[in-house]
This record gives sequence, C-alpha cells and structure tokens, in this order.
Amino acid sequence: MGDDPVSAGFAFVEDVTVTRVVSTLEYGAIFVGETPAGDKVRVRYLGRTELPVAGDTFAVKGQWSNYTDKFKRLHRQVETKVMKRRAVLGDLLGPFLQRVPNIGPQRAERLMQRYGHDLIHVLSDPAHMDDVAGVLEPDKPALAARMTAQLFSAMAEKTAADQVRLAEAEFLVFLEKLGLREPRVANRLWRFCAGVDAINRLRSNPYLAAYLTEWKVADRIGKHVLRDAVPAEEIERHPARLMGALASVWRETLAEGNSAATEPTIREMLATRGVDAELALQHAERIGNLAKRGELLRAPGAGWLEEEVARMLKDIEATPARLFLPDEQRLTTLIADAEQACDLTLTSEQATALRQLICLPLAVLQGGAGVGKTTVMKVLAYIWERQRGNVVFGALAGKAALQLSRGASSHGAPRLAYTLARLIQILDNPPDNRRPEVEFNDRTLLVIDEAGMMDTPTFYQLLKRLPKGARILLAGDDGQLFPVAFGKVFHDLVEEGSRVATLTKVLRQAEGSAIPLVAQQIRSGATPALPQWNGEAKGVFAIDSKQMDTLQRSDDFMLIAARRQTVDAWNEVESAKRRTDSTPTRRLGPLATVAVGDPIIVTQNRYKHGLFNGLLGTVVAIDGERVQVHFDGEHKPRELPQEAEVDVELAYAITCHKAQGSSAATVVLMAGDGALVTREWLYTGVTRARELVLLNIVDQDRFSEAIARRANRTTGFEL
Amino acid sequence: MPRPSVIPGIKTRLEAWLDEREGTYLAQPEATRQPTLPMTPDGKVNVRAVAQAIDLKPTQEKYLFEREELTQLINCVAEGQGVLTIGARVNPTDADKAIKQRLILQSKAVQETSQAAVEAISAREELLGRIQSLSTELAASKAENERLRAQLQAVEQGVWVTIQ
Repeated sequence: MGDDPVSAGFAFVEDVTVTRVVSTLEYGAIFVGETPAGDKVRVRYLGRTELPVAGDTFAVKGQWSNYTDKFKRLHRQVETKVMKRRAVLGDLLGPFLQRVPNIGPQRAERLMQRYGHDLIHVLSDPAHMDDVAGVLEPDKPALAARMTAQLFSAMAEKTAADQVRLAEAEFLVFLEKLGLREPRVANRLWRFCAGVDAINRLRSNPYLAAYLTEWKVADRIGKHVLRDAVPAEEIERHPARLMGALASVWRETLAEGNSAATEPTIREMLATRGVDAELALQHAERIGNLAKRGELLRAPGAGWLEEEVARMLKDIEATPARLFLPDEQRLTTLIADAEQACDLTLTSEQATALRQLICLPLAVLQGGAGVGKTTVMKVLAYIWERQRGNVVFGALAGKAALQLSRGASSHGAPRLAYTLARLIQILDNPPDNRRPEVEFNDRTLLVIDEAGMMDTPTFYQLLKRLPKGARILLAGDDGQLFPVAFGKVFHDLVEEGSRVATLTKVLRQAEGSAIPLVAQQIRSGATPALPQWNGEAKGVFAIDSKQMDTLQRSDDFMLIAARRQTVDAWNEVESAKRRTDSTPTRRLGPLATVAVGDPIIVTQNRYKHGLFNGLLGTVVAIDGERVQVHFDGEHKPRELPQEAEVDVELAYAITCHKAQGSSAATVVLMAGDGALVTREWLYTGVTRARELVLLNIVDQDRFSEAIARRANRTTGFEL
Repeated sequence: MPRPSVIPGIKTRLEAWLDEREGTYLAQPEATRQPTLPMTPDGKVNVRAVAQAIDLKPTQEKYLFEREELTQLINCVAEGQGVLTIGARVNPTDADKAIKQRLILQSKAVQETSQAAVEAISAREELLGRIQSLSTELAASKAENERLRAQLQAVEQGVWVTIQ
C-alpha cells in the first residue's frame, strides 16, 4: 500500500500498461496489462473518464476480486474506479515496442535495458538512430538501420495518436466536472469535438450538449463555458444560449415523435427553459435556422429528412414502369390465374384494391387486422412476376417478416420476407459475381408490411438505397400506434388518400377468433364488454390484479405495460424470481443484467448487425464475456455484438411501442389506471395476440375514456 | 513428442540474407540505386526467389507469407527499396518512400565521416520532424473524420447539429 493518504485502503496501487483490452463496458472496460516489474494483471475498470487502449499506461488504485472464466476457473482481478492516465515513461514502453514490426520481446527488452526512462526521448531524437540500430542488431547494420527507421516512425505516430487520446481523457474529465455524468452523452459530445483542441471546440460551441442531453445539464455546461468568454450579464441572452435552448426544444419535440410544432408551442417550451422566446426565434430566423410550413415550425434536421423522403417518393412516382402493366381484361385473367395458383378466392373488396394498386408506382394498402391484406399482397406478387418483374417482401420486425413469409407463400411458390435491417444490409453490399440473395433492380416491386411502424429516418435509409425504377407498396394499419422515432409517413399518405386502397371487411371473424372483432370495435371507438377471465386459452378477457399476481408466463407470451415504471419493476421482479446466487449473469449495461433464459429486446437500430429497435430475442447462453441470443425470426442463435450490448433491455415486460410488429400467442395488457392509454395503444396491444388477450385496467369507465383518447403527432411531411 | 519449430532458424537465415541484400543496395550510388530484392514483373517482392535464396524447402515457402515475424522483416526492407510489400494493396506514396530511404541513407553516411555526420544529423532531424508532423496531421485528419461522421449520423436521425 502507498504512503499517501489517498492510496490508503487500496490493496493494489501500481502503474499498469495495457497489453490487451478484453471488453469495453457502458461504464469502463476490462483489460489485461503489465506492471513495471513485468507482472501480468487483469483490471476491471468501472469508471467514466478513461477509455483504455493497448499501449496506454495508468496509475491504478483498486481492490482484488475474483471472476470465473468460461471454463469455470477462478481468477483474480483488480477492480478499480480510480485510474489516472500516465504520460508514458520509458520503462513502460515495453508493450508498445513489442507490437512494432520487427522489434518483438527480445529487442524491446534490449532497448529498455539500454535506455530505461530515457527511451521515449531517445526514440524521438534522430541523433540516436545509429546507437539504437546497434542495440537492435549489432551484427546486421544494414537491416538494423531499416528497422530503426521503422521504429522511429512508429514512435512518431504513437505520440501523435496519444496526444489525441490524452485530449479525449481531459475532455471527459472536463465534462464530468461540469456535471455531465452519462458516459454515452459525454462520448457523443467528444465525437463532435474530437481532436487535440476538443476543449476549445467546445468553448466555441458551448451549447453543443443541448442536442444530446436534458436542458438542465446542457445549460449548466453552457453557462460555465460562456462565463470565461463573456460578462455574466450577457450570458442569459447570448446567441449560443438562445440557439442551444431551441436545439433542446427540438430534441424534446423529436423525442415525442413530432418533427414540427406550432409557434405558440415552441415559445412555451423556450420559456420553460428560461430563455426569451422572441429573441431566440428572431435570432434563429436571422441566421436561417427557422423553417416553416404554414402554421408550423419544423425541426431543422427532421425537416430536411422529410423533404428528402418526399423527393425520393416523388422520384419513384415520376419514373415510368419498366415492365408492361396489364390492361383491365388481362388483369381479370391474371387474377383468376392467381386465385387458382394460390388456391384462394379474393373478395370483391380485395379485387378492387388489387386493381387500384397494380398501377401505382407508390401504392398504399390500408386495413385493420384480419381484413386480408396479406392475401392481396400474395396475388399482387404473383401478377407482378407473371409480368416479368420481381418482388421483394420486407417488414420492420423479424417476427412480422416471418409471418409475412408464411402468409405470402403458397404451395410451389415459397416467399421469403426480410427485415428492413437485412434489406438495407443487402442493398449496401451488392455481391460481386455470385447470384444475389435478393434481386433489386428497375423491375422490382418492394412490398413492405407493417409500414405504419416505419419512422422517417428508416424511410430515408431505405429509399436512398433503392435502384431507380423500383416500385413500392406500403401495407399497414393506420389504427396502430405511430412509429417509435419521429414521423408518420404511412399515416400521412393514408390521410392524403390519392394512392390508397383500403380494406375494411374483417375476414378472420369467420374462424371463430374474438380478437379481430374486439380489435375492430376498439378501432371504431366502441367499448367492448369483456368477460372476466377464468383460465380460458382463447379469446379476449378482463383480468384483475389478484389474477395478475398468480399469472404464469407461458411460451410465446408477451406482457405489455403502459407505464415505463411498470415495465422496469416487472422486469426486475421476474428476472429475480428466476435467479439464484449462483446463476451466471452478464451485465450488458445500466438497463440490463441478463441470465440464460431471459427474454430481451433491442432498443436501437444497428443495420450492419441486422438489429433494430424492437427486435425481441431470448438469451440462450452466456459464454465468459460473450452472450448468445436467439432473435425472433432467425433460424439459430448468434452472438450479441459487443457494441450493441448497451442497447439491450430485459423484456419480461415491454412498452406497446416496442411490441409493434411482433406477436405472441398470449398477450397481457397492463393498462393500469388507463391515464397513459389511448385507442391506438389498446388496438395495437390487442392485435399483437394470436389466441388470447388479457386486459388489466381499473374499471370499465377508464376503459371507455382510454378508447376515446386519440394519439396525435405533428410533422411537416407532405407529398 | 512435438517437433521443435523451424521458424527461428528460418528467421536467422532470412535476417542475415536481408542484411546482405540491404548492404548491397546501400553501397550503390544514391542517384542510380536499383532494388536488390528479387521482384516479380509487377514490382512485388518475389517471395519464391527469396525462399530459394535462403534454402527453404518448397513446403516451407508458405511461412514467408503466413508468419508475421518473417513477413515483417521482408516488408521492412522492401519498403525502403521501393518494392511492393507482401500483402500490399496500395502503392506506398512517393513521399513516404523517399523519406524512409533518405533516413537510411543518412544512417550509412554518418558511418563514413564525422563532418558528414553533422550534416547527416540535421538532415535526419528534418526528416524525422517531417514524419512527426505528418503523424500529427494524420491524427488531426482522423479526428476531423470522426467529427464529420458524428454530424452526418445525427442528421440521418433528424438532428441538425450546427458547429462553429
């Protein structure tokens, strides 16, 4: 233990040079390193300010603890929250030197022995090159000279890279002192300011944090930074603060799913941030940062995305079809052929819809649960292919894609539907010579199911990758909740109406399921009378709190709660019930510690990993640091990518938004007192179930109030 | 019982041979130097010829490609002589090559006269300074890249971040 009071109480106080980073965590990292004495040590750093990479050196103060590896062997490691970056001393250069080409452990050792603390200075001064060459390889002077040049270059690069890393550490410490505690926000702020002059960049943009975190924290950081530059009395009305407040207003607006708002709304939100609304809006207009559409003010970035999506959709409509579109007579024949080939009969409503849709480059098929949208899509695909086009099916969620595959396939004509994440991956990586997995060209009809769930950024990502000439059919249900992120393009297109075919007749009713009927009632604004549940396996029932307490989770089960607190509490209780002290768990982030068997949900889009917001899965194995998950709609389990770990939550309970696109045999809806529940929430929840719905709500009055309550969203999108 | 590795022995022979090749290269007048490593018609290191030169069996030739400690040795010398390295996809820039070559040239020159040594050292300082500033520029470029990517990703999520 060290002599100084700060080190007292720490069992481990040493400099450690990182040789390998094992994994990075939401709050810290695990790495393996070496002490100056050459001892190897494993360190688990649980802090916010340092991001270790191989070659870095830290003064580490911590305590010893145990961990178990994947072979169940016990090891020792140092746990620390206190780790300070050290300027690299010569005798700690070992791990870096060993990684320089042609140096290796023995030559590194010779250099360390010869120069010790002075090694960094030596490797930066060309006067020492010959001497160094002599140390590296005394008997091969020519080769040694080459190696020395390589070594000096590597040292120059490391020094430059280290300066940036040091700047990053200083920047993060600077933010923490200002009260910014969330590592994800701090890291994002770093990315906007990255470089050796990061702190200066922040000084030039004192309210950058307003784009990333709550106003209280952003204002504190901004005021602190401005204090050094302007007199105190000028801070409140400083343009940076005014624009920061506006950025914060847009952040809140987007978080609620809106991309625009009325001027009075914006003024009110500015006022709650302690900012002069009039001044702020005037300044924004002066610098060209205020976009309007009629009575609405539009969030700048979101507005741009909407314009891009509108432009790309118009391009699709303006491009003539590459294939020959059938006339009325031919279409009648094709429909008859399709019915025979797919062994079905279209209703007159479905046939009418089909005739409308086939001619539209951008087409919308709108209809509630059980009206036969998939049947129409199936027949349309058949006809499109008979006209020598090709059809690609997509859906946002894995399970929805799976259901679409099943529904759209027929005997002799199997159809594979893809998640949008997978389609984007495919479009980004066209194959060289092999036969493409999916044909995407100017004869393609892209059919997207559950299109009501697509937010504007997802529309943008998909549309910008489509080949010219491809056509698009959006199928969905505008009675459901709006998308999780901002926008409601599908709903806007349905409202506009000129490209829309609508199905209204519920067909599944005939098969004896109560679910479509109840769903239809809710959708139309009527309050269904739900019988109390007595253990039935099918239907729609009310369930009281006592029954909730004794409810057993079955396979293929989804519990949807209206309040975030309910979701969190339920997840905590359910996961604890299933674990003992010896159950292996893995902390993925602040929101999720998982064990084998836990249901989980992904909360961010990561297209390159085939992950998206709302993807459900089950943890099937925990193998040391790695977690294996079987995601919905995939054939087999796979490893959860490390960078995605922080975007995973337990899913014993989920919000209704996250349930969109998925389904389960049994769905339990916890509406509680109904205050947060809308018609769309109830309708979406009920239509997630295939067999059984259990609704928990305080009483029938609250049920009626909830049904009367409509979700709303404001955007600036127009086509 | 497992057989002892042949790699250390191969490495020793390779180093000795590379040293000899490099020495021959440096002995040429600077203005008219030609690479002394065996090359293919498209300017790459002829690895088969290297293998033959150090008496490797045909089955051992693959080690020159697969073993990093052997590949790095060959590439170190190849880079300095302007020969495309094993696994190279892009030509090293002329500036990089010139700088590294001149660094080595200065090493040799220093051995000859002490007068030249003084000049050589200041020339080397200049060159190393150039490498150091290029490295700093590279780190700054990477940081700028990071900033631009962050702004682009933000706008694709609907957030227009204005940065002075």
